[in-house]
Amino acid sequence: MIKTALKFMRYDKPKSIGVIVGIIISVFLIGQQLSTLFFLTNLMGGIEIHSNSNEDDIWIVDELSKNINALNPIDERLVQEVKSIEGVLEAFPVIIASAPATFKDGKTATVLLIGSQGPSFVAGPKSDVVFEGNRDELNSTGNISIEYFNERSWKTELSINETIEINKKAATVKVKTKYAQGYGGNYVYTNIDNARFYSNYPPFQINLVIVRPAKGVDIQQVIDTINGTFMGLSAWRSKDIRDITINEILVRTNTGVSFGSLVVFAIISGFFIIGLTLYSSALDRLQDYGTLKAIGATNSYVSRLILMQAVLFACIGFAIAYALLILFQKGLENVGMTLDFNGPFSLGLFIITLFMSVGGSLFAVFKIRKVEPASVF
Amino acid sequence: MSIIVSLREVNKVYQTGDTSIVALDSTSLDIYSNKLTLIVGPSGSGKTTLISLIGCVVYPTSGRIFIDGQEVTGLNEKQLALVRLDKVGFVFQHFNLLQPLTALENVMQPLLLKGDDAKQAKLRAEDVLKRVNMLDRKQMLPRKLSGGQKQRVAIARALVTDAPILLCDEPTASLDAKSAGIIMSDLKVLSQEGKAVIVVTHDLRLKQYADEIIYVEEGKVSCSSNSEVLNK
Ligand SMILES: Nc1ncnc2c1ncn2[C@@H]1O[C@H](COP(=O)(O)OP(=O)(O)OP(=O)(O)O)[C@@H](O)[C@H]1O
Ligand SMILES: [Mg+2]
Repeated sequence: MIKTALKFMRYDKPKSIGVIVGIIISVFLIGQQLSTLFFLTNLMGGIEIHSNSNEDDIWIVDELSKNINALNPIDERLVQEVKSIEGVLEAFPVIIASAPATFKDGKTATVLLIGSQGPSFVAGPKSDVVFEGNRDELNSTGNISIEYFNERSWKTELSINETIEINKKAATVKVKTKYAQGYGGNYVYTNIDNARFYSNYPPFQINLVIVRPAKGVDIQQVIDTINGTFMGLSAWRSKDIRDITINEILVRTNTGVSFGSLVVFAIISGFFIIGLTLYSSALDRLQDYGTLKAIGATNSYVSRLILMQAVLFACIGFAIAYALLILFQKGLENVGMTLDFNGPFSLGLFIITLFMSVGGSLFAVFKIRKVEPASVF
Repeated sequence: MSIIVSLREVNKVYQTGDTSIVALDSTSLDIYSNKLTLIVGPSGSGKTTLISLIGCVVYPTSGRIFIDGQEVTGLNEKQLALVRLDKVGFVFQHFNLLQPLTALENVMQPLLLKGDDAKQAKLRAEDVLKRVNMLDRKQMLPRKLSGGQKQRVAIARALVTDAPILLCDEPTASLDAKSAGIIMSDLKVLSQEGKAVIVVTHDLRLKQYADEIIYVEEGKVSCSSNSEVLNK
């Protein structure tokens, strides 16, 4: 049957090429939009992703804060109080605050200072994004990190040991990170005192506490205790704070809707382009399908013959579109856009392809099922 | 000589909107193996309707049809397809070869539908193509073949499953006189070898090949053996 299906596809080259091109265009568009959206959501949750917090850690923020990129201040004394809660092993204060920066060439940018105590640097950077320099140096007064891709987008040259101004105070670049990017935020990692100093953060105020529970305790119970003990604060699992941040930004900026509608549009138009082309090519072969039925093929056989063609079209179109997506990915890699075509993503994209192709072929299937075998006499 | 197809009070009425067309009036007839049966009659008389009923491609409005002893009236779409595959080989006026497939693949198709394995199907199909003298063109697509060649491939396809009935609707209408003669002689030989060969035609010249003749006129059928006809 595969062989017969391939022969049918090859016989009608212009329409087959039409179907494949339709698949390639829509799958490429869908893959590009979705991978870009996932890239952006990673940026939105970048602070959590690039932190040294692990999945069991609990993040405590002001209860009105729904976005880790913009946190309200909380009282620093909280850290000691949290430490005394049963099941809590450690509690780290963190300051995340933006500040204007000026470079030697006079260019300016807004940076997001992320300060937590060394040498653990619970708020980051992760050692695998440290690209140049020694992370431990961030624990000394006046030392900061900058991000390789931000440096490029600022169109300025910054080398290790160079001095920049943040809020008109001199800071020394001691570390360069690579791939520690945020959504509209230029991450500058340092220790908590430096972060307070450069952002003019009020004394005795911080805006995040990262809690490390003791091994084996019930995390949810610790979260419930914190939420019950401290008024005006919310405790989250690290993954959850990332999710609410992403949700908040997607809704507020309409990013979700605009990407979503593009993807839905691409799926619908792909579905109809593929469906109508397959339909019209089935019409061309009406006599052949009718003859097949007359000589003894069942409706289920001819339906499978068409579905088989749809699946083969999907495989061919997907393979080409996927290759183009990989090229697209390689092209964006050196501007710091790391699109991730991981296993589940690729599988999902393939399922969408199958859906469009097989779904679209149903127009043809219904048409062919209705052909009377007597009609070919 | 045995009965292979029996129609008992079969009638076919086409319902289009308010009007109903009696394409075949209540008809009882038997068709024998070992004979070439000709179905003749004017255009619109019901010849194709009759052959479609015999070939199990349409359901009768009433009456009973038996193929090789099995009653087929009341079978579902799938079962009827199986009866066609097993019992009937079709030859069409316009050849109806599957355009995307080569001559060989066309002839293999019924065997593949039966679920035979491709290698065996190929050997068997080559055998039959050899018999109709088309083996040297087995890799050609239908559009590259002449009319007579196409019809020979079509006959090979109808023969490949060794079905007892060969149904031919105007098999010579698209052919020149010489090709038509060759095809009819081939069909005659097949009937002598034991098949029930049924040929629908307008062309009264084909009478010379017939053992039996069925006349159809305005949906009414009358039969006679050819010897009677010739003696009249
Ligand atoms: N599917 C159909 N729907 C409605 N009427 C039909 C249908 N098929 C055939 N008829 C009618 O039934 C009658 C017999 O048609 P049939 O095709 O059997 O004639 P025929 O003898 O084969 O004619 P021809 O020699 O022109 O092929 C005709 O009046 C035709 O219009
Ligand atoms: Mg007819």
